[in-house]
Amino acid sequence: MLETNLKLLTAAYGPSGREERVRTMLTRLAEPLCKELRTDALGNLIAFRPGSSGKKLMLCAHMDQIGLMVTDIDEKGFLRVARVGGVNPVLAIARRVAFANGLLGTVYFDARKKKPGEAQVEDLFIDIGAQGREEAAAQVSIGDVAVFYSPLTLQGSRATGGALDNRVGCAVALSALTLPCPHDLYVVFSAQEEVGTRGAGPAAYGIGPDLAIALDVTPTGDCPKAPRSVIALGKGPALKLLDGSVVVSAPVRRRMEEAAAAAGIPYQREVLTAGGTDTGVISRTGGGIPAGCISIPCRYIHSPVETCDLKDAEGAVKWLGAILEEEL
Amino acid sequence: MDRLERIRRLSAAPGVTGLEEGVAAEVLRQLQGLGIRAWQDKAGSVFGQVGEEGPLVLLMAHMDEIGMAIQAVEENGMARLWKVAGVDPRVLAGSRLLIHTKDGPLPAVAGALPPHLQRGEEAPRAYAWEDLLLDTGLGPAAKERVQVGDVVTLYPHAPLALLDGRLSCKTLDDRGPLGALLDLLARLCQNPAPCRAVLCASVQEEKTGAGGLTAPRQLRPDVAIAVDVCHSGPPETEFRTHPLDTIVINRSLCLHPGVVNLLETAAKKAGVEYELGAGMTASGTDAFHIAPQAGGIATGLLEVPLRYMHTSAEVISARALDDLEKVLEAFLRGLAGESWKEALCWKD
Repeated sequence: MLETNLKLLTAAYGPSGREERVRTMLTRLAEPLCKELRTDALGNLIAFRPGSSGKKLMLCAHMDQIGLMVTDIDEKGFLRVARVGGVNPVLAIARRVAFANGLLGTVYFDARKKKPGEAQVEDLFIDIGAQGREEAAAQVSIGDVAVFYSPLTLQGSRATGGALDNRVGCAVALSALTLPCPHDLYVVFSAQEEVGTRGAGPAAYGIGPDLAIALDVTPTGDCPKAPRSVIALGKGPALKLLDGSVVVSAPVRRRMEEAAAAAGIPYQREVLTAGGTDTGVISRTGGGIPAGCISIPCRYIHSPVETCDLKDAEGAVKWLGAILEEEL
Repeated sequence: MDRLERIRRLSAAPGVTGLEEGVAAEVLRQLQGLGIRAWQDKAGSVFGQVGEEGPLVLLMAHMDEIGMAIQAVEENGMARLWKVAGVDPRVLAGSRLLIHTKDGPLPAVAGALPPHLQRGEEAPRAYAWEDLLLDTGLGPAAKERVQVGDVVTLYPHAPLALLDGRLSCKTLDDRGPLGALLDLLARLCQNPAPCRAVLCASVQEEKTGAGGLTAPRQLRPDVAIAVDVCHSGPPETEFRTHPLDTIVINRSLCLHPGVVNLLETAAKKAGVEYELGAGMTASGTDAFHIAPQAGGIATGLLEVPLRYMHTSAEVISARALDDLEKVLEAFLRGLAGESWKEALCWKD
């Protein structure tokens, strides 16, 4: 289920604020597993499955992905772009990108002035093969967003492709919808995480859960010359303790540790030095919501070759199984 | 319990941003010791109320402290650090620290390659996080005692009495003013003010402002005063700093001019000399977070000057803490009747 869903989800287009297609795919996959599905005003997709305990548990996986937004079309038909989320311009060079309508383009840069390693987003352009502004404008509008075109490949348990951040979290959340849970279960596929975690807070406000667990990827320190980090692929999902957006509170931390210990699930401990997740905004919603996060280790985040180990994602599902069954 | 004892206990209680359980328990103990209603909210902030009638006044001082977390434990037993909030790695080498492990607190020292051994590109310079090692004395066995994510605080010392009523220890930001608020509450218990004064020891001021954001949404106070520290410079750093003994009434743009007026009036009535402070939005304090919540809250900010902020040798003045209490007490006693409503109206 995880692998099949991951293939479908990574193939679905859905940059921040333009999540329609991935939301459609998630709707198709979640519909048989829940009682109600709704989309809120910010575009969060919320799946609901009633329980009997009178308590509410929320899972949250952002469904949006990073991209490049068209800001101008020049007279020769090349597209100029701005970043949607944390695109590294250097890593975007010489990559294929896709628009919502299936149109493909190639990202390149103004090579007269700079070396590839020096390129800024202002130096990038997308070549869609158009001959002139009119021909380009017939296919693309200002404000359209392109995402990395990088279909998922599997080798052993390793998955590589674009948008694993955070379609792997979405796939884990979908699997969680099949797990027994005595509580009202709300699975939020949040919008606009990559542009400042803008979707999850309003979703949490609307739900008012007793506990929220976010699902997202986290960088690793297990490849050559990587920044120092103890996180590695294949050693299990990670318990988030700290990132730029949140310090996970001691009660939530303990709850998650105890659930993992009781179910015998190996996990890693994550102290992330940069970047944030939906966990932070959820925790500060309303009068405060106990919020934690299970992270899936991922190499080369925000590139077209994001790489995860499916065993870690499977571990996350098992861990959620233990958390979902606990009293709140 | 006198104020110094309150501050001593508060300063020593562990409560790094986001993980305030230790200091929250201490604040709850002190509030319960006053025999007043005390509670904790979902975000973790601790509250105590004195008075059952009159306007609801939120008095907020944050209880979280700057601190670090273990990022990795090397094979040789040395631990690597990362900031949770507010710590400057340049001042850490040579410090005593405390690791809060699953089995209890573990003393350690922060070390780095000494200048004698630095060569070439390592020529003497300020230490950064990656230069620092946390030494528990243990070798590889440290891996069994210390876990990634364990919180690290500055080592608690009893407050050092400097000359002329000055006091030095860790975490006077913001537990010095918090101790003063608790002292004030004790006095209000004896001699009530015409309002409902709610003390909030808030969480996460040093990182996310979570306490400042969440507490007012639940309480919906009529007026809020945040109490925090500001910078007092060593001699010859006058820009944007204040004398150590003189409290500051902040009139940044996010603060309500009516509240600023009430605080100035209270200071004059109490015979307290003060300085005005200004900035664009008072960001970096709970006041910034409180003001736009729950439809907007009339918010003020009182500041106590402090030297060497975010180090284990913060310095504060007992006279300034006295003055803080006097101004707040005069402010609370001035809220009788309905005139405070008029004072908080915008006068265009």
